[in-house]
Amino acid sequence: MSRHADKSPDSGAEAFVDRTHRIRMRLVFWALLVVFGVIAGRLILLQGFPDDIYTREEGFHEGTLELNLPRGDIYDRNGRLLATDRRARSLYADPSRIQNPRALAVTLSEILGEPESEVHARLTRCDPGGRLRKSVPVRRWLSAELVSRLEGLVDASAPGLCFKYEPVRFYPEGTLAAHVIGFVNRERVGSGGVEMLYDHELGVRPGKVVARMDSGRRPLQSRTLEYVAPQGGADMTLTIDTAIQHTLEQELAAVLERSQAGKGMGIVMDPHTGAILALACLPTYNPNEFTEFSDEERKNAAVTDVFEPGSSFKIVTASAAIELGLVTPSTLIDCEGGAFNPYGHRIRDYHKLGVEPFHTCFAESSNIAMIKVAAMLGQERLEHWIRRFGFGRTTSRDFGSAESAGIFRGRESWSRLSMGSLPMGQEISVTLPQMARAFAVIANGGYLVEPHLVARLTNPDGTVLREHRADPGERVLSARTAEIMKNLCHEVVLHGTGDKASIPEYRVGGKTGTAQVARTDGRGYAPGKYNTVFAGFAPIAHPRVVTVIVVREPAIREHWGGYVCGPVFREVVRDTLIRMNVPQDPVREGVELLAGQDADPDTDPDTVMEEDALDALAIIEPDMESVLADLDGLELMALPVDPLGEGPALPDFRGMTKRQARERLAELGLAWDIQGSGWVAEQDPPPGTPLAEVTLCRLRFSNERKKAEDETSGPVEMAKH
Amino acid sequence: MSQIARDLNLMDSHIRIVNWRNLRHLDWILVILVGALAYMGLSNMYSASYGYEGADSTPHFVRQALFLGIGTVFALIIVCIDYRFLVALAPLTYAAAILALLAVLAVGLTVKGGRSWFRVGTFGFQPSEFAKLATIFMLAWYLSRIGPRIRKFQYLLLAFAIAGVPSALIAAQSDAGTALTYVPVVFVMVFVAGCRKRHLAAIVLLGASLVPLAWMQLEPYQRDRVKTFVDPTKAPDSEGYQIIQTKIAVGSGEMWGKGVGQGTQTHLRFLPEYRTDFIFSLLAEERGFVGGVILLALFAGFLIRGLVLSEECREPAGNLLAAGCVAILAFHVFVNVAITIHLMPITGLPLPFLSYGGSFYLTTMMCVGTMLSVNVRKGMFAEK
Repeated sequence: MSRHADKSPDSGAEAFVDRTHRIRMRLVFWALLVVFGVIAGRLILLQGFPDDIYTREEGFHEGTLELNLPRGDIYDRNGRLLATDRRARSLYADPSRIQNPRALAVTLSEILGEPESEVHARLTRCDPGGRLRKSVPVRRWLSAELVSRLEGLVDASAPGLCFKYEPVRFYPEGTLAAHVIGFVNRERVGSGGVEMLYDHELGVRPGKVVARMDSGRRPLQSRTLEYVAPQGGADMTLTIDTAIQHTLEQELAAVLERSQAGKGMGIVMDPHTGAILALACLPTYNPNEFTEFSDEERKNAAVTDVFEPGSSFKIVTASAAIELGLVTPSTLIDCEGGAFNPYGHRIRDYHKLGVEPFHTCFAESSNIAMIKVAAMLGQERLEHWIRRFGFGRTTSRDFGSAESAGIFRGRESWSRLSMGSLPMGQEISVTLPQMARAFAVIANGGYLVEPHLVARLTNPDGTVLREHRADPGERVLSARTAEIMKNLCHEVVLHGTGDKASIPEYRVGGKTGTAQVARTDGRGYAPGKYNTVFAGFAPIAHPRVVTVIVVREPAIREHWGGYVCGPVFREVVRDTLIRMNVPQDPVREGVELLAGQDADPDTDPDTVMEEDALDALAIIEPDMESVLADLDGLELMALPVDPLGEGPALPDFRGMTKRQARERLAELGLAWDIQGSGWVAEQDPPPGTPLAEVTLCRLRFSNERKKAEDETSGPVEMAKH
Repeated sequence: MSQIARDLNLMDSHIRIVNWRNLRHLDWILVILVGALAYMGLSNMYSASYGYEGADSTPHFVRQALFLGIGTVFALIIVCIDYRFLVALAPLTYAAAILALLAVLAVGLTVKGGRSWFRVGTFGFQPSEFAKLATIFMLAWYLSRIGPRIRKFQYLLLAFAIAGVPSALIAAQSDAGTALTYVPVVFVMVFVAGCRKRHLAAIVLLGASLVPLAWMQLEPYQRDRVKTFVDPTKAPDSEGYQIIQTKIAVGSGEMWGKGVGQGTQTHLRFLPEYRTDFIFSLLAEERGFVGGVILLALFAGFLIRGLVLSEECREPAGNLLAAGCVAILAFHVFVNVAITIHLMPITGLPLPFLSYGGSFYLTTMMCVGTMLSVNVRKGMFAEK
């Protein structure tokens, strides 16, 4: 069968077969050589003369990985989450893999509610080289509802469409403290509030790893070429208490409803440390949907907006006068029956008072009394004290550059009317934190604290990056003056204009304020538009909170600070104190704050003016005698400190009471000759005579009151225009 | 048994079926070439097992060494057994192989898209590998029996049918590469057996005319492979990826290579299947052109030596067996290397002695054993 086994007799044929076989084996051999030759040739081409891209393969293997961290979380003082990073699904397209962009664009535009042309443009976007891109965001941060509607489509058109998870800022409490916290914009940059101010700390500066990569783009640790750790991502703990914040916002919303006001703001602060427990500005916005709101709605008006504080500003004047010993709570002040015109500008009191002790004047918010007290202070000291209370400068690092310093011009640009306006909180604009800080001075025993929002910043590794250290602050008032002011403020709530702010469980101190709103064109005041303020603290014995409530432009008739803001203050402070477990400190019946100095508001000025009463007072408060006459106007200002350097001159006594005149003369060391009773009608020598030339002053009194401005009306009128 | 003995003409022969002394008469040139190839294979596998990415629990290198050991034992057993006895048993082994292929189609494991595995203990077992050998023996049995009748077309067709059945069954396992290995085997064997060239030409033409039909029968991924072969940059992320990566590996090796264990393409897993189908890329990357050419020279020497042994054997069955073994190993070498250097579209064919895989290593070593066995016994016919 086989060629060898074949017993064929034809050996020639066998030889032929053998020869053929040998040739065929040769052919197989040569075929094999050819095949190997081809392979070797190819190898020479590939390896001997390699293409650049094959030898530069190192570049393919080195990769950079971005190292990221989630943006830091924000917590309230009790560790309640206020802001965090969440992953949300975004819809991405891979235009290079979309089969029919036109049809897909139609479907997508229906679901997303966008014009088809725009969607189509995204689905066919090219890179600068003209090739279709591989990843284009179609819509980022989809809502759960959109995701469910898109799911089927994405599955059907994969890999042309896909969902990707992307971080998005989430505010679990929604609108709560929105202005304080701010929001994070689409570029992941904090915008507004502490998100913006502490963007550097909260935000993340990505690090990177440059390393050899394997094919799965996994970096090989042993081949790390460069490592830069990601920075930032610190968690933030605010001083805000979510519960108090909630109450504040709720009450502000209620008062806006009640009073149909445009805007309301409030602050609750610890007077000792300056920690802000709540800071709200209504109407608010939802940072989760920040694109739906305008810049105006998103800005933190509580620190950017300024307002005229009105009577609530009187604490400055009053504190200064008491600290300097110019008045005491029992010092009697003639409130001129509710109308007074010391500087060519008629000052009116809502509660018309005669001669009243200072504490009553304060409680009833007498403008006239305050102007007289301010006159005792004089321009220089008034300015100094306004500044001392922190007005005219920003309050806190935690508000950033957005915070307004208020509007307070120095003495050099004051007008003649200023001394009639500033003491009662006009001609000055303040911010909410400034007011809170000023009232905290009284509440904490005399220190100017720094309001702050951020208690702590914690690195992702748990170490503390920054902690707010409460600075004791500059001493502004003596403890005694602060105590007196506290009691004065308490009386405001007990008997005065702030009665709506009183809390049954706690004794409260505060001051109301109502100011006209300046015209936007900068000239004068807009008629019928008011800002209402109530600022105060509680409990009186040891104040735990300072709260300022401001409601702008209430559209109701009772546009008074006490009426509009008082109830807000009451509810917020009461809630806060109960929440803070502050022991009750109720008003006890029959215990009066300033025993024996509780003047009858209806007393006729003439009876109070009687010498007997004055003497009695003088016995009680002998120290105060020297300052009681210090009520006159322009000349008097020069007396205590003599800023102009012209030398003392004889004051204008006209219009003064006998007691005022006598005290004034005693202070100047002049001998006097008095005739008649009532008010000073004539004096000799005339006002303005240098004191050095005066030895005896003759005063003639008359029952017909003659006002100083009657004779100086000319220049003042001019000044008015 | 007696029938087999008569067929083999052994009744009156002093030649024993099993003769351990035959080991003394091995062809040392072939043995040294095989040893050199096995050494290159193992050292290459060592590099493929220990990179800076760490190793598996049982490194591939250790297992490959084990396969080499088992394969050597198998080869030596085959040397000791008279190949004519094995050829006489060929119809049985062939039938068994066909049954195994049918069985694996029915119950085999699916690995990488193809059903070709049985699992025996911890080692998988691929019947298609042994079917190659069984088919070579079957063809040798058949061609040696028909003798000159191979010049008749119907006998030639039957030879193609013998190779075609296992080939078709393996193609049904979606293993086109292995199925194709039967083509050069049957062509070389019938050619060496003395078929008419015009018959072969007719079959080649027929096959060429069937190419469009076969193209339609290919699975989509197989068609993509051919398409991306033409231009791999069209799909650099998917089908073209392997081609680009293997070219980078080979090209970046340049003249002297990057050094053993330093091949970044492979160790960083840019190149898939670098222990099996793309093992040559690893070698070319780490040892450069020099290493690649040395390996190819060793292969060429080995295969040419196989052909020489084949020709030296004057007995047709032995002659055909050795030629078939050379054909199948040459085809593996050529296709595998051609793929890694972008000469052919990707089909999964292992490289003898280098690619990781127990079944194929055993097949290779049994081919080696067959060649040696044929050579050992060539003298018996010269004596006659």
